[in-house]
Amino acid sequence: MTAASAEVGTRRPPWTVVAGRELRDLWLGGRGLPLMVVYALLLSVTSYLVASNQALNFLEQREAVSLTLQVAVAVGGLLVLLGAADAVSGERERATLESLLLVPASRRQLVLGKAVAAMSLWIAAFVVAMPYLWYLGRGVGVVTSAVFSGLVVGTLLALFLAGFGMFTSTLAGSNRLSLSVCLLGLLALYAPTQMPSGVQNAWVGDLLLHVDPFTAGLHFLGAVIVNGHSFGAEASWLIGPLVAAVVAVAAALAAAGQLTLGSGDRS
Amino acid sequence: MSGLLALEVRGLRKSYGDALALESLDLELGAGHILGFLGPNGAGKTTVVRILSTILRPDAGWFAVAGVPNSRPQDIRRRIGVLPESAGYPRGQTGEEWLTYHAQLFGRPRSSARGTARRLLGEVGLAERGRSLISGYSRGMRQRLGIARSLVNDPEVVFLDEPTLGLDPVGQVQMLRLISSIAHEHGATVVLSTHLLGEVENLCDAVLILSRGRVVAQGTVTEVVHRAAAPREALVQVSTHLVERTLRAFSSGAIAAEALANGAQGEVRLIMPAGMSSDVAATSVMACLLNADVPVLSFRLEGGRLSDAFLAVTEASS
Amino acid sequence: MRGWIAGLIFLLLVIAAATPAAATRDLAPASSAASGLSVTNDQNALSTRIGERFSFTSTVRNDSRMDRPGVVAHLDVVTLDPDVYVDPEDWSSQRTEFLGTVPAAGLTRIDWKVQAVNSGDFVLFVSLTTLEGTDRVTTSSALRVTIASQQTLNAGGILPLVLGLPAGLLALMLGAAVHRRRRLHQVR
Ligand SMILES: Nc1ncnc2c1ncn2[C@@H]1O[C@H](COP(=O)(O)OP(=O)(O)OP(=O)(O)O)[C@@H](O)[C@H]1O
Ligand SMILES: [Mg+2]
Repeated sequence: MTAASAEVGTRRPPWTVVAGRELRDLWLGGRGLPLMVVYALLLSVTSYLVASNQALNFLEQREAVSLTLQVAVAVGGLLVLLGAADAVSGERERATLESLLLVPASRRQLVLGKAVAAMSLWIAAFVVAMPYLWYLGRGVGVVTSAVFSGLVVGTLLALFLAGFGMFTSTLAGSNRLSLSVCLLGLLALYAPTQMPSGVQNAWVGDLLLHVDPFTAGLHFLGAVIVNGHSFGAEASWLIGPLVAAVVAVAAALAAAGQLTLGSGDRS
Repeated sequence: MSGLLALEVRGLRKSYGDALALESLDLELGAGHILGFLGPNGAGKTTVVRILSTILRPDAGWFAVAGVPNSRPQDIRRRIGVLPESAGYPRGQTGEEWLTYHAQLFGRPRSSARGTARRLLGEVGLAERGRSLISGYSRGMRQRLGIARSLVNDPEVVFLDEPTLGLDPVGQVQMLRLISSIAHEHGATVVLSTHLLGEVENLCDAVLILSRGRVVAQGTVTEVVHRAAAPREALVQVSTHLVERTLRAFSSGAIAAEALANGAQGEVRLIMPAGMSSDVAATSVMACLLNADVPVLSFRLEGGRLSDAFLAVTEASS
Repeated sequence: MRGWIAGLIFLLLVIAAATPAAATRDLAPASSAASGLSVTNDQNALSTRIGERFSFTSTVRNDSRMDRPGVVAHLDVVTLDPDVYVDPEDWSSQRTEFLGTVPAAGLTRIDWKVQAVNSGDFVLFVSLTTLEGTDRVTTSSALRVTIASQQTLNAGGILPLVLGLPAGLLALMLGAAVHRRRRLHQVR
């Protein structure tokens, strides 16, 4: 038998194999590119409206950069969340999970590979946003800070949402349950941005804005890009997203270790 | 390989919540055998296959597959091939892509994985369709693809959970032929869970019948049939005007007789008492008919088959 | 008895009235001459482009012979074009400086960081006051700032981007689909 001879040499870690397969499924013939087309159209419409507004002052233009970046971060995060929410529960629903669990790799490796594929949606969203950021921001000197802060905040949020989505997907019995929990979670995170400013200024509101990775991350982007504050001055706003990303990824990995075929098994 | 135990199971037990799915399973299977794993719906076959393939954790018990104890699930997975019950297949991939992917997951480098995929597609008769999308495959093609997937790692033990599910009669026969060729060419031990009793009789050298989570029969086909002591039937054909006399001839003995209304003209069905061997059955029927002066046009002893044993043991347990 | 109480009240009133009077009496001579405090800028005209940051330095002097506690400096922006609306907050996030005590015959410098938000002609000035006291607010002379506009955005210029990028992605998507279909039908 050839099993023994095949073991030698170029043996790839299983997560890279899973990631490679998932990336191909997503970007060749999958939903990846159609989603990016829709997303680019969204950015195009906002940018065109901004650019055709002659009376725009300098700061409003910065706000446009910030808005574009926030759209990129929010939509990129949403795509990552949806991708991750489907990752395990989708296989469970399509009855392909058992075959996957039968391979001699740890469950964490499988989940990690899928998470990498989900993260690629954010990377793509960010790359697509770059030309828009450059065009809108070049006259007002914010391109560099926008790109850099967007990369930091977006990646932290995407990690957080990927972890949250994978965690939910690993535990959820059905895809529908996983998707609804994830969307509900996202709505809850978005809610504090709609608080009246009076509440936002009270210490409870302020704490909430800091803790909620979504509001904190977007606030950071606004402060750095529109108000021209330095990263250091606003660093406290990055604590929330950072902690959230670490916790979510750790939770997803912990859940992955307990990954089972069906949700009914543990009851 | 021979002499080694492919499967060794001790006191395996599993319940889902309050429902006991597997009471206690003990089993030893030598390498190279084909085990027919039988039982009515809900008997616990899939549960056992999932436990032995390390997908489910048992509540109690110990087992070793291909000599690897259950404390090392990854090493077990490395050595087994499984066709899960009603497995799904990724619709957006081609058969070749999917097999290549799984071969890679079992540690093969990409090029060798693709070679393995092509070879297996040929073995299961899918060489022509390897590069079309799985979404276009028929049920039988998918089942064969599933078999191919279970072989990507040249497994020592193969578990096939109802590989003939949903296949037409021709498909079933083809599938069983494929399984037998796999067993012989790959030299693998096969655990075959199925409801096709007739085919198991020809294919398997050992059977295990499970009913409501309990083992109700175990051994070679002959042993099981013998131990089950199933009632047997015989069909005898006589001239139409002698049917009445035939029925009267059996009215007093241990053998019951009834005329077949819708059968061929002059057919009478005889039901043997349980435990009667075929020799005794044949002689006593003939003696009876000779005594009654009935010429026999044809005589066929039925029963003594695995299906009868199956019904006997599973009904007895419920 | 009543006389006692009346006398006591009178005395208290006198003390109350005298105390602030005593304080103002000290400051009174300085207040007319800007209480000895003055502020000057290191430039009186500059030109830049919209979006650029610039800075200038103000010097606060105390020419009196007494320390001046609680000095506050404040930067303001005035537009000279009635059509332009200015929100000074946008120009600088740090417009009020609490300088504390400026010692007698001493000076303090303030570096202002300003961003040119609108285009046109503007006047920036710095005013000084103190935490207590009612003396006049002192202002610097005007810093005239001319800001050149720079049209970075225009609807025509962005068209290639807003049309090209989605179109490019669409082409990529179709290309991927065609590539995939070809490979699928390679062997039938
Ligand atoms: N995930 C589960 N949760 C709860 N009960 C389950 C679960 N899976 C199986 N069972 C129960 O365990 C028992 C054994 O089921 P199992 O699927 O192992 O039977 P089977 O022999 O494979 O049946 P079939 O021939 O229909 O495939 C059944 O009573 C079934 O209802
Ligand atoms: Mg089953």
